[in-house]
Amino acid sequence: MLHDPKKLQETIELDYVQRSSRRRCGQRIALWSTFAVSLAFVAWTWLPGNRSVYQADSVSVAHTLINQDCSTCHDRAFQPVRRLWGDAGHYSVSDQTCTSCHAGPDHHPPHATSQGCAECHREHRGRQLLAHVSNSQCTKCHADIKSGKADSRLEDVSDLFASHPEFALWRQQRTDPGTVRFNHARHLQLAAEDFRKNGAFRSHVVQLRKEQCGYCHQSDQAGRYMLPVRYDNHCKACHPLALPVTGKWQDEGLQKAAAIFSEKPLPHPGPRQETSLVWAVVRDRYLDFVQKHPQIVGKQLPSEDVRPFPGKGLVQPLREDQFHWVNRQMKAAERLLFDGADGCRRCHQEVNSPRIVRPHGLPDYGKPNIPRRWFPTSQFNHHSHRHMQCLDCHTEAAGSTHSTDVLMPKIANCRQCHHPQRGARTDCFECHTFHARQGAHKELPWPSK
Amino acid sequence: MDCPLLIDSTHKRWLIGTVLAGTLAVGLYGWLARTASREVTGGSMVGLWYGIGGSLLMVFAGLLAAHRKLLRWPMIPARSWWLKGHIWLGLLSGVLILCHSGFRWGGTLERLLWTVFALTLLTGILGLWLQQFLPRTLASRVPQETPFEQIPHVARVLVQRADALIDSLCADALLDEGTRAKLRLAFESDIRPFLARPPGREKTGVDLAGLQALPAGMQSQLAQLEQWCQERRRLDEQERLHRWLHGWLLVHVPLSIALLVLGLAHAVGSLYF
Repeated sequence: MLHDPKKLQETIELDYVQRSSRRRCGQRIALWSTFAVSLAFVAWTWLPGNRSVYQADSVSVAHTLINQDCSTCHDRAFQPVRRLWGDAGHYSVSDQTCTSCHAGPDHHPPHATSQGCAECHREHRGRQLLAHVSNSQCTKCHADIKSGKADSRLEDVSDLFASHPEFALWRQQRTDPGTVRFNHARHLQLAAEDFRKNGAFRSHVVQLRKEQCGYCHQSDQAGRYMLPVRYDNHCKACHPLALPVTGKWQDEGLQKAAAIFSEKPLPHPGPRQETSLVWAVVRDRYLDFVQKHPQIVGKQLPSEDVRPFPGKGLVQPLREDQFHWVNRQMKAAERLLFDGADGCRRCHQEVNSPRIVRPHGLPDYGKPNIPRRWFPTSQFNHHSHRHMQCLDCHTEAAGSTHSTDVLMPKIANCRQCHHPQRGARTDCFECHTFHARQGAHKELPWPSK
Repeated sequence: MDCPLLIDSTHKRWLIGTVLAGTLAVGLYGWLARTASREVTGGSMVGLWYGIGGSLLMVFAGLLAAHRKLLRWPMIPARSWWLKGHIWLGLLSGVLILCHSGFRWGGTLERLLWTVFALTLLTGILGLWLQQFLPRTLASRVPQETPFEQIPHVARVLVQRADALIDSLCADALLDEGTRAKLRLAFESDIRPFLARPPGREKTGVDLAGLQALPAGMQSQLAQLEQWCQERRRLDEQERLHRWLHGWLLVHVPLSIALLVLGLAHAVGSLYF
């Protein structure tokens, strides 16, 4: 009997419990091997270049270059331990470290600065912008802005985009402050007679119909905002500024020269130029014309025997009859340019009224006042919305006939896509950045009431 | 005799306590995360305390291995109590660590920790399942259990006894030369290799037909030899079941060690930075 208790010592080595067990031996080898491998792994993580193992996620895009050098930012060791007794302001990255590279603008005191940069700007959240803070950081104050700042012009907004108030532009029923007359409807719904004209005009009209808003409104290189509409780039092709030489002549040469004169467009004053520029150019052109074609003023007198300086062209002195001709042409030109329906008045309106009050005899059209940014405290990217039609957001543009019409979208337009149930993001940071330009609130494009 | 189950009615209170504690922990976390002015992460006050709680439970579970040494200390409960704690608090640690992480995977080290932690829990659950049912199977299949460590020794004893038996049979003068040769051949070619092979190897049959020609007076020796072969089969079965019963520890224990080392590195690294 193998298991006979009386003969157990013949079968079993009774001292086996004191000897090393083969099962425990295997376990011990596996245990110590794993312990050694784990320690080796931990040692490896402390080697330079491997510290990113400890990161909860990759650093933000701007900090990629210092990804492996933790001490560049983390200058205070074991600060997170202090969070066990209080959850505020204990970060291993000091504000001095941040401000040594980032001279950011002043933040709203005292909420934003009291707990340090790292309180809002959370690093190791993947390849995102560090300025991208969570909604709760904003709504800490903006959910009840009046309690913290009684004189604030801002409306309360909770952390949901659905509670965002209507844009101030619409709340206050502002109008477009621009002084340049423009009829969007006329340009978006071109008349049939526009296509009957020949030449370059027709090709531009066809292009306008094809490109619609994009013919005039082009975005900047980054695709964010629309560049200003310029006469030379967007209007001149269809609305050239040109003046005729008034009078009747039998001479074919003169007729041809006058036709060429009337086809040459005049320059349009730039942003910081005045009407006098056009006036001076017009006068120069008439002077040039009359000197090149002296027969236009009548009988041509024999030229005096004047020798030019070597290397210089001969400039004939202006005769009195030529001078008077130029003055007559200028009066007609001023009437056409400044008083005519097809002149400057087509788009501009004079600051002074009545028009007879003109300092230096020239009209003052003032500044165009076309807002470059309608929402200066927010940010927008037209390129991100390129899959949409302009009129999807600027819905009023197609029917707008007056310059005073505001064609910016309302908040409801944005909510069609920027809604928790519709996919597009609804973060505050999506449109607003805390690092707004200094004084941006003072640069609202519409006049304050 | 029925072998007792590992998880029995005495675990009921532990089970209820663990489910309640887990639900409370998740509920509290949800409430804190909803009402906190800041995002609740592993590094926030809430997250840190959850991490400490989970780590302490893991350390408690790990100390089961050192229970025998801890017995010298006062107020150390019985091993059965500690084993229950090991099972249920080890599972609860998973819930607390999940809250600690904010239900996120984290970075490279954290993902590695998650993997090791998940494997530790899974091997533990597998071990629990094996320990729950295999002892009964073992008791039914191997009525007289040999100490696992002594299986190779007992196998050697069987071989020695078989050798002695065959030698004594072959030395019998009454046995004719032909029968002796047949007996020796059958033993050396079939029976001895079966008895002498390393324990736990795949089961092979043994042909005792060659011994049928033995005289009637030697049939009792033949029955003895057959009994030893049967005993050897039971040793094999025991070896195989024991490997299942304890083999999972070869994975579970090293994983627990890796979890503790990497967890410590994670704690130090996270608190340092």
